Amino acid sequence: MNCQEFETRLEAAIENRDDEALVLLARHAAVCSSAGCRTLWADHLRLEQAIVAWKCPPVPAELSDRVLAELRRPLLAAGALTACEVALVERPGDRPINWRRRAIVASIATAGAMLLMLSLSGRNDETSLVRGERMTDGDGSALAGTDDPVDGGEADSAAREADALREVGVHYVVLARKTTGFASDLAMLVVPESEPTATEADDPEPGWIDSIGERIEPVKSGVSGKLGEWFGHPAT
Amino acid sequence: MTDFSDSELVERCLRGDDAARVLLVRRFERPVFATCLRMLRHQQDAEDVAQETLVRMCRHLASWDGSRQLLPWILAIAANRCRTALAKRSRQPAMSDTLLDPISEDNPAGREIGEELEQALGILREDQRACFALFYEQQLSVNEIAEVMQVAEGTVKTWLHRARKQLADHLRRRGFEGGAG
Repeated sequence: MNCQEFETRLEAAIENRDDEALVLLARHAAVCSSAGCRTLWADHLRLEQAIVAWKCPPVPAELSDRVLAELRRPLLAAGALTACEVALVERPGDRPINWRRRAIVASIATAGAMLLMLSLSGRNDETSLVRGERMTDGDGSALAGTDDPVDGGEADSAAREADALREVGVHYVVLARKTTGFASDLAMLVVPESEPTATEADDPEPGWIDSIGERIEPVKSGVSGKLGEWFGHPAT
Repeated sequence: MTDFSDSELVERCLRGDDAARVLLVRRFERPVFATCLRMLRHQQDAEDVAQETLVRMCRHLASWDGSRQLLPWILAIAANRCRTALAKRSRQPAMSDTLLDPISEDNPAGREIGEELEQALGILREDQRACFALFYEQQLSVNEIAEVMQVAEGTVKTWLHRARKQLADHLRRRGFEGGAG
């Protein structure tokens, strides 16, 4: 084997990672009289020694974290809504949302608000009536006694103010009764809805809404009685 | 899960398994970063390109041909990204100031032969250096290196031969003793 052939075989053995061929080449280099073969083999061994001692560069500690953060960013953005929905529905200890019951409560609350508005408009009518009476009690002038508080004598004025106050009180008693009735109706519905129960999935008893009036009647009577006691007005 | 094969990990990643993706990234971050550092010889650039490579790997896993090895496919992405970075760098001459020192002229006495080799790699051409690192550091075959570098196998052999010859000459000139020669 000449030096050129030795070099060719050495390169092939390295490229193919052929350990058996390298062993044969090592034997040849040990006994070969050619300086070329020995130099080639010495260079090979020196380089192999350096490669063994060659250290891999340390990987930055945060590299994988940076990669994973970049990969998760678009996923989180895309899945944000779903995550909220999952958190709402599956939060531990939460009851499932009963939309039918919520709709019923919302309807009753709306009806109550409309009743309250009607009550307020009724109060305005009654106030006008009170003022109309006051006008007939005065001197007959269309403008007298409406806006001018100094029209008539002081005693007459004081009596009219007392009458007006009493009638306003009557109006508020009526309004309070209606409001109390509405509030008690609402309370009878909302309080049971808010109680966490183990049998949430169970439907309420059939015809429960028909018996609402009977259920709240004692509450209404009690509240009306109290109001009558406070304001001196008979409960109706 | 750590003993899963590359194919199994990829399959799990494609099914949306986040733990498998973490493992896949951690399995390949070292060879990717090493390859990037060998080619770019710049720590920050290598980190950036390695990150970009690993992100691309995860996002394009579906395009990997499962009948072939995964590492050459990933390193091919890294090599492409490095070539792009090198092309950008060539338009920014100031970048050369922060490159790793290719070779120091001081006396190598006391320096280990491994450190000397690391320094000597700087004298190689980029393609030869990448070829040498892929062969010895990543233990890729000539065929796989050809796939990564997108060149013929004969070209890889030539690059590898020239790289070895230059490095061996350098070590000899620097006075490092040969082995049992």
